[in-house]
Amino acid sequence: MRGLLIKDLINLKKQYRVLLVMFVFYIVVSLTSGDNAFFGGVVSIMMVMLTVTSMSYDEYAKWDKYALTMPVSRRDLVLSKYLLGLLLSGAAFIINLLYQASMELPYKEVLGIAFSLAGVSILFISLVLPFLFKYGMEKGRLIMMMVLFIPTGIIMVGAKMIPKMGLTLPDPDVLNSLVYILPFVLLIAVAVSIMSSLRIYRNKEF
Amino acid sequence: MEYALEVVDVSKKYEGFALEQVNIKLPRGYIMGFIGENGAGKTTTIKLILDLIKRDAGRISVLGKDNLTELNQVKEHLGVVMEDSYFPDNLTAVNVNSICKNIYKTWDEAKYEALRKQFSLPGGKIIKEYSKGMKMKLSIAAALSHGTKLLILDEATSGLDPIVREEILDVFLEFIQDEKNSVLMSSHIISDLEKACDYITFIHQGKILFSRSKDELLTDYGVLKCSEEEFAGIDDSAVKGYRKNSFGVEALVLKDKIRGRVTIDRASIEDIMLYHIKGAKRQ
Repeated sequence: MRGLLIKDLINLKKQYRVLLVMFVFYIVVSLTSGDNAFFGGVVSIMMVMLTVTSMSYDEYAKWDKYALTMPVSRRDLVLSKYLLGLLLSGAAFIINLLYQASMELPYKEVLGIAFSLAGVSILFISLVLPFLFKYGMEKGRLIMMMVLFIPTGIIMVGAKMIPKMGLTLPDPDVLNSLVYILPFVLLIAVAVSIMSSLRIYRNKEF
Repeated sequence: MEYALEVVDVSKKYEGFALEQVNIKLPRGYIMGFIGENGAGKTTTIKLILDLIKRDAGRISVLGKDNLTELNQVKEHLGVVMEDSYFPDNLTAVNVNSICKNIYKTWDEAKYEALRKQFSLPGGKIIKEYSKGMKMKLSIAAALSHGTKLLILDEATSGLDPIVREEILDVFLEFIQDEKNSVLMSSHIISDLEKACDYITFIHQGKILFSRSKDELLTDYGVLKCSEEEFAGIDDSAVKGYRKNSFGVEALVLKDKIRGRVTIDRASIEDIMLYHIKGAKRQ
C-alpha cells in the first residue's frame, strides 16, 4: 500500500508546479475580490482532482494490470486511491487553514470553511471513484462532470424556485444544526463508496 | 515432478473465441516457450494464470499454490513482463526502485541497480522518454530483482531489435542457471525460443496442439522432400501437413513412421508450427 501511494505522489510531481502557479494566481484573484472562500474552494477542488489525474496516468500506462502481478491485491489498488484522496484533502485542509487564518478571520469561521471544504472534497471522492473504477477514465470523466453539475444545478435552481413557489426556506437555526449530522452522513458515504468500489473492482477483467 | 506452473483443463469463453481445455505443465528449472499465432490465445492464457481474468473451468497452480486463493503468497517470487503494461510515465528508474522497495518484501536493490546498469538505463530519465526496448528492459530488471523463481513473459521480446533481444535472452539464460528457477515465455519470434527453450507449448485457435520437450520434437519431426508419386506411398499417420510446389511435395512427417529411402531434413520449430497451421492435411 505504501509503495502504491509513493508511486502516485511521485508520478504526480509535474502537477505540483502547475498547482503552485494556479494557487498564486487564485490568491491574487481572491485578495482583489475580497472573497476568501473562493480560494479555498479552488485549492480543495484542484487537490482532490489529482486523485483522478493519477488514475488516468495509471490507465494510460495500464499500470493496474502490471501492479496486480506484484504482491498487490485488487483491494490494495482500490484502497490506495481512497487513501490518496484523503491525503490530498488533508493537504488542502491545511493549506486552507493557514490561508484563512492569515486573513485574520474569527477562528470559528476559519475552521468552518476549512472543515466544510474538506468534507466536500471527501464527498466528491466518494461519489466519483466507484464510477471511475467501473467505467474507466474516458466514460468516467463524463459521469464525473454529471456528478458535479447536476446537484449544483438542482441547488441553484431550487434556491431560486422555492421563494417563487411561495415556499419559505427553513429557519437558519435548523439548517445550522444540520451541520452536526454531516460528519456522519460523510462517513456513511465513504463506507458505501469503498464497498461498491471494492465490489466493482473484484469483478474487473484486464 | 515438481511443477512451477500447472494449468489443468482450463477453459474460457468469449464471444467469437474460446480457450478450450488448456493443459500446460512446466517443471521447475526449465524454460517453456509458448508459441502460436496472434490471437491464438497466448495472452488470454497468461492472463488466466495471473488471475487478471476469470476462468470458466479448470484449475491453475503457480509455484505450487492455487492461483485464485493463494496467489498472493507466491507473488513475491513471481516476475511478470507484459508487452503493453509499464510503470506510469512520469517515473524514473530510480523512482521504480523506491516504489518496489515498498511493494516487495524481497526487493533486492543491489540486483536491480546491477541490471539497470547492465541494460544502460539512465537513472533520472522519465519513462515517457524511454524507447520501447528501454521500457521492456526496465520491466525485466524489476521482474528479476525480488527473489524471483518464476518468470512469465508475454511477448517481452517482440518488437525489439535483434541485438536487444539477444541481450535480454542472455539475462534469461543466466536466470535459469539456478535450477530452482523457471520461465514461461510467449513469443511469435520462434528463433528466440528455439535458442532458449527446453519445452515448447503450441496453441492454435484456443487449443493446445502439443506441449513437449523441444529435443523430442526435433527428433520426432522431419521435413520430407519427395515427388508426388513417392508421397502417395507414404502412410497417412506419418504426415502432419504438406505443401505442394513445382518440384514435388514437402511434408512435415514423424520420422520413425517413414520407411524406405527418402530424404528427410531437420525440421525447425518454425517448420513444425507452420505445417501444423498452414499445411494441407491428409486426413
